[in-house]
Order: sequence, then C-alpha cells, then structure tokens
Amino acid sequence: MKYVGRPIPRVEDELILRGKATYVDDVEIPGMLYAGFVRSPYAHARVLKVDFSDVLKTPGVVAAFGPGDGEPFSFAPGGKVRYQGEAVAMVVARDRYVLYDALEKVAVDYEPLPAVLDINDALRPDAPLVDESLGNNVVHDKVYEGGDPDRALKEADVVVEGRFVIQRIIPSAMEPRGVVAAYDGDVLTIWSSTQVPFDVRKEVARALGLPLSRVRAIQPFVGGAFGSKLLVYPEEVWVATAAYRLKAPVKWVATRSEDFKATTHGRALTLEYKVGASRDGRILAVTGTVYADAGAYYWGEGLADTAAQMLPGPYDIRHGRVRAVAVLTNKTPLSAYRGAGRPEATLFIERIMDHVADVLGMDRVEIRRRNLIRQLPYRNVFGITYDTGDYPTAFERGLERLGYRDLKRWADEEAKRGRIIGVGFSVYVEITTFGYETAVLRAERDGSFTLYTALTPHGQGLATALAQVVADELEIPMESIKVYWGDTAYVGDGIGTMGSRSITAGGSAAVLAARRLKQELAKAAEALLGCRPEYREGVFQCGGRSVSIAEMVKAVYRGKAEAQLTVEAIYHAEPTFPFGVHLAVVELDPETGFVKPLLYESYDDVGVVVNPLLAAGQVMGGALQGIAQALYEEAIYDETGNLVTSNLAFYYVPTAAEAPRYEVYFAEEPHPSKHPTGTKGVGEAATIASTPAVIMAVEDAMRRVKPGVRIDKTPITPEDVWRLLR
Amino acid sequence: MIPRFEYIRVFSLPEAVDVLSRREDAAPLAGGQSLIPMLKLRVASYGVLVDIGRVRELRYLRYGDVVEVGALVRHYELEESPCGFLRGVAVRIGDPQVRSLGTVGGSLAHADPFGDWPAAMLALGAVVKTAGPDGAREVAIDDFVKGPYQTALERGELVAGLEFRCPPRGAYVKFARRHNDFALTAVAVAAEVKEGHVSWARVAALGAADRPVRLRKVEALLSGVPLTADVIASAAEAAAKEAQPPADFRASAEYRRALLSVAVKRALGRL
Ligand SMILES: Cc1cc2nc3c(=O)[nH]c(=O)nc-3n(C[C@H](O)[C@H](O)[C@H](O)COP(=O)(O)OP(=O)(O)OC[C@H]3O[C@@H](n4cnc5c(N)ncnc54)[C@H](O)[C@@H]3O)c2cc1C
Repeated sequence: MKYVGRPIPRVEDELILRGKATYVDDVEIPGMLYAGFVRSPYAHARVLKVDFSDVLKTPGVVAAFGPGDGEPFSFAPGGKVRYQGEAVAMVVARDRYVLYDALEKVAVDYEPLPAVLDINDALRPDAPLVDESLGNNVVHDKVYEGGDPDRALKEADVVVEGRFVIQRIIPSAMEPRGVVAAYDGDVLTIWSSTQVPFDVRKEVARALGLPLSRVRAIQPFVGGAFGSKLLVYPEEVWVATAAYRLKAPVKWVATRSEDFKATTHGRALTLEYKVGASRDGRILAVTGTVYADAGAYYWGEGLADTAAQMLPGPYDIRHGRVRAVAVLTNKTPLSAYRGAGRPEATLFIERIMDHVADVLGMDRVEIRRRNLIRQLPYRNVFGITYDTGDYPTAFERGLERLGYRDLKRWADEEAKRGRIIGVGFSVYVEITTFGYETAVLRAERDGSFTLYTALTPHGQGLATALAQVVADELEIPMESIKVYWGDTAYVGDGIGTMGSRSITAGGSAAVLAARRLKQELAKAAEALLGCRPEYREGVFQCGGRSVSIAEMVKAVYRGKAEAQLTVEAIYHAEPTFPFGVHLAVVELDPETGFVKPLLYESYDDVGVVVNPLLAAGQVMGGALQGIAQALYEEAIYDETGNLVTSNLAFYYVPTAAEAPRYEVYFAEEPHPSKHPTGTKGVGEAATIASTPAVIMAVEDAMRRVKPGVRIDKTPITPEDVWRLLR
Repeated sequence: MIPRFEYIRVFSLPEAVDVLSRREDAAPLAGGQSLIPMLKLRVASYGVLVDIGRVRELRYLRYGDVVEVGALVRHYELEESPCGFLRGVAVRIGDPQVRSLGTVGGSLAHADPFGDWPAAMLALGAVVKTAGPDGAREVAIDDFVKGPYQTALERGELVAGLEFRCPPRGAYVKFARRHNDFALTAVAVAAEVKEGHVSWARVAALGAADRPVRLRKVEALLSGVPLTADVIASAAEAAAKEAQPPADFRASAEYRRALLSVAVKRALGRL
C-alpha cells in the first residue's frame, strides 16, 4: 500500500482546528515582559532626538532602547528613517497596556525630508536620495543577454513595444510577525513567527557573539507567511538582545497595521518591453527592462533578476536582453511574495504574447502553440535549463481538459442573452527548489520513527506529506511516523519552506535518511540473523528467520548488534521546472466595471503529486492570491508616503465570498524531476498562473463591450474597467 | 492594542443614562463592531465603556402599522424581517459575525458615512427615539445625522429605537469592492406606487456626500409619474447631477457618481 499519490487529510488539522496549536503569541513564560516599537509616521525624515525621559519614569516600563544604544540596535541608520513604519526605538514594559501608552510618550524629534515614492520620480537626477551613500536611487542594475537581440529585432516583421505595471502587494499573513525570547543565563531561546529559524539563530548568535550551540530558535505554528517571513528581521535580533540583556523573557507581537508597514511587501515590478516577431507569430527577440520598486532597503535581492531571467517563459525565444534594475523608494522594503519574480515574469510574457497576437491578428492559443518549447531539457536564452516535460502535449491536453473551446462557445451564447462572460488562460513554466535541506530520522524502540525536518511548514501540510514519503520508503504505516519541525535543537542547519522547494528538497532528504537508516538496520540485522536479510514492511528476514524493526532497535540498545539508530541526510537540490495551463472565467458588469471570478481551472505537470488533496489546496489558495493581484489588492500610499491601505478594512484581501469555483487537474502522465521524490513543487504554481489567466479573461470580457481594449497593469479595479470601457 | 478601560454593565435604561451622563469619559458599548475596531486602532479611547447589551428597554422589535426597532436589534434579526426592505439592507452588511453582534442603534449612533442603516433609515423617513438625562426625544432622521460620525445626540443620550412604516415598495442597491464590504455607494428607495403611478418616493444615498443624503431632485422627478424606462433613465441622470460624491482611495468622485446613477436605475427597476 503506497501513500504517495493518495489524498490523505492533513495530520496537522486536528490541533489547528481545535485551537490547540501553539502560535508565538500563545507562548507564555512566567515573568514575561512585552516589547513594542516606536515607528516613524514619516516616510522620510531625519531623526534629531529620541527622548525617553518621560517614558522611563512611567511605572511598569522596564527599559528603552534607541538610536544611541549601539549595535545591534540599528535604529534610524545614518540618522534617518526611510519609510513610514520604520522603527526608531523600542520600549519594554511589564504589560501591554502600559507598553502601548508608553510608546506614545517617547518624544521623537523628526525633521521631515521630501519622500520619493514612485520609481519614475526616483530615477530623476534631482530626486531625493533614499540612501545618500549610493549617489542615486539605483541600488542594483544588471543585464541578462543571450543571442543577438539587436539583429533579431531588426529582422523582425513586427516590433511591439509596451509597458506593464504590477502593483505592490501586502502579503497579509493572517498571523502577524511576532517574537518571544528568553535567556536563562545559559541558553538563549527564540520563538519566532518565521520561515527561517536557522537564519534567526545564526543572526542572533552573531549579533550577541554567542556560539550557535547556546542559541536555540523555535518556529512554533505559523499562521501564514507567503515569503514575507523568510528574512531575519531586525525585531527578531532586538527582542532577543533585550531578553539577553534583561535576563527575562520578552515578547513582541505586531499589531495588524504595524505588520502592514513593518513586514516586507511583494511584487511591485514594472516591465518596459520591446519584442520582435515574424509575421507567422514566432517571437524572435524579447528585450526590455524590469524595474523593481525596492522600497527603502534592498532586502528583496534578485526579484527583478528572476523576473528577467524567466521572462522567456515556456517559449522558444532565441534572442534576448533584459535589464534588471532595483530602485529605492521611501516605502516598506520589498521582498519575496509567493512566487517572487516568477508570477511577474509569467504575467509579463503572457501579456506580451497577447499583445503580439493582437498586432498580428492571431488567435491567442495559436501564437502560444507556435512558440512553445518542443524539446526538453532546454536552455533558455538567459542560461536557465528547464529539466523535464512535454510542453506542446501538456498544453493541448490541458486546454482540452479545461474545456477552453467549450467555455468560449458558452460565453458567446451568454453574450446573446446580454450576459458578459470572459474566458482567459495562461501557460507557465516556473523554477523551484534550490539549496540544501536536512532530515534526521530516528528509529524508536517500539518500531516507530521520529523524523526531524529542517523544513519550516506554515500551513502547507508537510508533516503529512513527509510522513507519506517516508512511510513508502520504509514500507510501514504512516501512523508509525511522527514529524517534528521548526527547532534548531532538532536539526543543526537547513533552509526552510519557501520557493516551492519543500517536498522536493526536504522530502528528498527525508527519503534519503530513510534509505540510509534501512541500510544501517540491515547491517545489524545481518549480524543478528547470520545471513543477508531482505527487508519488507518493517521486517528483516533471511534463512527462515526474521526480526522486526522494534526488535532490531532493542537489540542495538542491548549491545547485541551495532547500528546508527539516528541518521541525518543533507540533500542538495538543483532547480526543477513545473509547467501548466490554467484557465479563468469571469463575469463583467459593464455599467459598473465590476468583475466576478466564476470559475478557475488548472492543469499542471508538477512531477509526482505526493498528496492530491494538499496539492489542490495549494492550487486553490495560490489561485485566489493571484486573483487578488489581478482584481483586488494594492498597497496604496498617499503623496506624503503614508500607507493608506493600512489595515484589512482598506486593503482588499479577497474572502471565500470572492472565490470562484475551482477545478483542479494534474497531468495524467507527469514528468518527474530527477530528485528522489520525483516532485517539482506546487506551492506557487497557481499564484504564478492565475493573474495572467484572470487578466486575459477580464480583457476578453471587456472586448465584448469595447473591441481592442488592453489591460496594462494590475490590479484592474472596477473603476479601471469602467474607465477603459468609456 | 486597545487602551485600558473600565467596564460597567448596566441593566436598565435609567442606569445607562445615569452612568453616561455622570462620566465625561464614558461611551456606550453595543455590538462593539465599530467601537472595538476604533479602540484597537487607538483612534478612540474611553475611561469607561458602558455595556448596554442587557438593557431590556432597548431590545424590542414590533411589526404593526409602524415598525418599531429597538436600538439593540442586531443586524441579523432583520435578515428575515417581514418588511422586505429591511431584509434587503440587513443581508448586505458585513459578514455573519458582524451581523450577529452589530446593532441598528449602534449603526445610527456611529453615523459612519458609509454605514448602511443611516441611509436606509433616511429613505424610510424614520423617527429616532432617544433617551437621555433630560428625558426622551423624537428626532426626525433627516435631522439626526449631522455629518460624518456626527449626530444630534446630546451628552449622555442614547439611541433608544427607531420607528417607521414599512414601505409598500422598497429597494436597496449597494456597490462594494468585496462581498458586503463598506459601500462605495448605495441607494435606498422607499416608495408607493398606485395605479401605475408613483405616489411618493424617498430616495437616499450614501457615498453621494460626506453623509447620507436624500436625492430630492430624483424624488421630485418620480412623484406622480409612472415608472417607465424613460423616467428611470432621467432619474438616474438626475442622481448623477445632484450628487457631490467624495473622492478617496477607494473611488474617485466621478466613478462614484456613475455608480450612483446605476444604483438609482437598478433600485427603481426593482420596485
Ligand atoms: C468587518 C466589519 C464589516 C462591517 N461591514 C459593515 C457594512 O458593510 N455596513 C455597515 O453599515 N456596517 C458595517 N460594519 C459596522 C457594523 O455595522 C457596526 O455594527 C455598526 O456600525 C455599529 O453597531 P454596534 O452595535 O456594533 O455599535 P458599537 O460598535 O458598540 O458602537 C458604535 C458607536 O456607537 C455608540 N453607540 C452604540 N449604541 C448606541 C446607542 N444605542 N446609543 C448611542 N450611542 C450608541 C458607541 O458608543 C460607539 O461610539 C462592519 C463592521 C465590521 C467589524
């Protein structure tokens, strides 16, 4: 009985649904102190003075730290704050009521400076400088090139130019960030709502000059992250430092509006493009510049670069030159958000394909058919090698399975009745998985197994998926495996859950650990049984005798055989490339511009699907986030750099009521990756594919009202639609 | 983070009025669906919250010639009201959690310019009954809402309830970015149509000014005429002309104006 491939409900759900899961704010320690931050109301200002004299007199206030307090309290570096919400001071108090009143009593003298909020303004020679040491606001500028794009453009029958703007997104994990730190004089322990406990541990140890062995970072249950918790934030180091210095447990949990400003934002890339095509619809060259609105600090390294390098997408484009430019602005720093560069690349290239199709008067399916990569592996023009797949077949089967033609016909019928339906699709290839991951597997005396993973699940259901792959490898019931995660006391080092890498990198590490543990036990079994045993379903046997794993383990403890009962595997994972076709159906109210997503369908070749239920969950949630990018969410700043959409009433995260009906399919004959699990990752696939599919659907609907309209930004709000239709 | 406050639960109207008029820094707490978020955002803070949730005198709902809605009637209690107009409004407010705690009286007293009940009550021509240190008053809804978050309530005074007739015909059309979000605009129409002619109509809108307002030109235009497509079209046009919608990050004034026009058209179409 294999577990891989079966829709097994999440083993984590029991705790979560009963409210028994421990999140960082549930961590209670006697004597707990509470930390909070004074944050700049200005987008850009000199910090002249921070005065704690009133605050420190307040009963219940224990300590305050400000710009003058030296490393690691790097408040207002260079004497400035660069975005609204940047911390200028920290106060520690005995309870939260006292704390939040105290925060209001910290007197800060600011000298407001002109803020630069838009990348176009930031690129002007006379623009205010976010970071004076750079001399301008360009913090990163790199060109990716392949083939001979200039010649290809010259030889092209048509050259199409445009610009597409992707908004800033606030990741809005339901659980805001938070940290608890406690120091008992021996070990410094940090609980953090993070994706990267190993990095938190390293950063804190470095900042305090402690050996790693005396710092323990714990990732408790985490209520969502979407990439916004994959950096080590200053607050994690500051709270840990306060606990270390005060020798007391300290807790900080962000409020919602604090989190909206102090946790990284995502997307915010703009592409200016110029592409050349032949009359028969072959894209010959893609050129352009990707600009990242990087915010106040360049924390989101590589976002514009990933978008540039993945810009050719699943299409065979032999000539290209794309510049990746990151521009500083006085806004919350930009970083990874579910997909991190690939959703942007996919939206850009899919919009380009539609643009070229329009110019050539060609069908949107046909232009893709003519450009899809035919043979895998394939090295794209910027040097990225896509591993496995059969794109043309998956594309045709996908469109067939999703009923694209039928839905288009249905939309035509509905149009006759005055109902305006739009149908859109998208094709994507994406890059997942990188780096090493660690698994530690221990055989227990009763024949059960404990798996410690360095993965950092925060809603994905990885404890379930990991148990499945290990159970298959060991041929034992899943229930015999307990998965632990999120603690540097379990595993020395690892990376964590991000970039759709978990089951591929961490799952493969777990499979390898299981394989090695089996070998260890087999050696001992041979010594015990006196013959070379076969292993089947938890039992070693040969020569008519057998020994179970439980007996083996006991024998080792009793000194009757020798084996490692705990095995560690560190797996290095090369990137792998999922592919898919997604489809969206929307209904348009032409008088108001309101668009309602009706149906969302997906067809993915993500290699081996370990658990179709978990995978479908990833597709549905991911798709809704991409729909949100297309239709709802946008971080809006006013002209002074004040974040207007600073809470969930003003920032439109869609709810279940906005969600369409979903139909989720996986390729009948998937192309596995070369990793032990054969998986490619599914965590970001639908976030990547959904925005372009929805945008095409909206444009399709709008063209029934006004032929030729083109969408060149996200989100497309009802007001945008209404304006375009007038 | 909610600022610290003292909590007092009262059990009768006189007790409520007494505490509220004695304590300068007191506010009544009804469903808490606006008050608690304001405290969380620290845009409001009070020394005392007076929980009026158990005050019997404010908890009544009677359907007769006139409909009498006590201040503590919760939004959900009107979701299946025999008065169709009320159903149409109630089901468009927030989510089930909000509707099962939020009260009609709290909505009126809060006077959020984008709240649904103030505009709906304006279309109904409701009378707001208040109770305060100087006794009970009746205030016409047209005089009750004075501005954004401003009402005719005096210090220590409570909304006790509302009275109105259920209109023979009514409709509520609301446009919001997400399902049951606060409205970009909404239009409430209460009317009577006799022998094919509109005998009277009250049309109120939110998102048409800085507070809920009646669209009097639209009302005038409808009075005494049959509800033909032409009439509806000119009413929709008149609404756009009459409105002075606010602009904010959610919508421009121009777009709100266009939405109002569509809302009037659709509301009249549903009568
Ligand atoms: C997520 C969410 C979505 C929402 N969506 C909508 C929506 O779509 N449409 C909409 O209209 N509203 C919406 N609301 C607001 C909701 O309708 C509130 O319930 C209502 O505005 C206030 O009623 P309450 O009983 O909760 O009042 P409270 O929050 O308890 O009080 C609000 C204010 O009124 C005062 N007050 C309360 N009762 C009285 C009284 N009897 N006399 C005098 N003063 C009183 C309080 O002191 C306070 O100042 C939403 C709220 C939330 C949290």
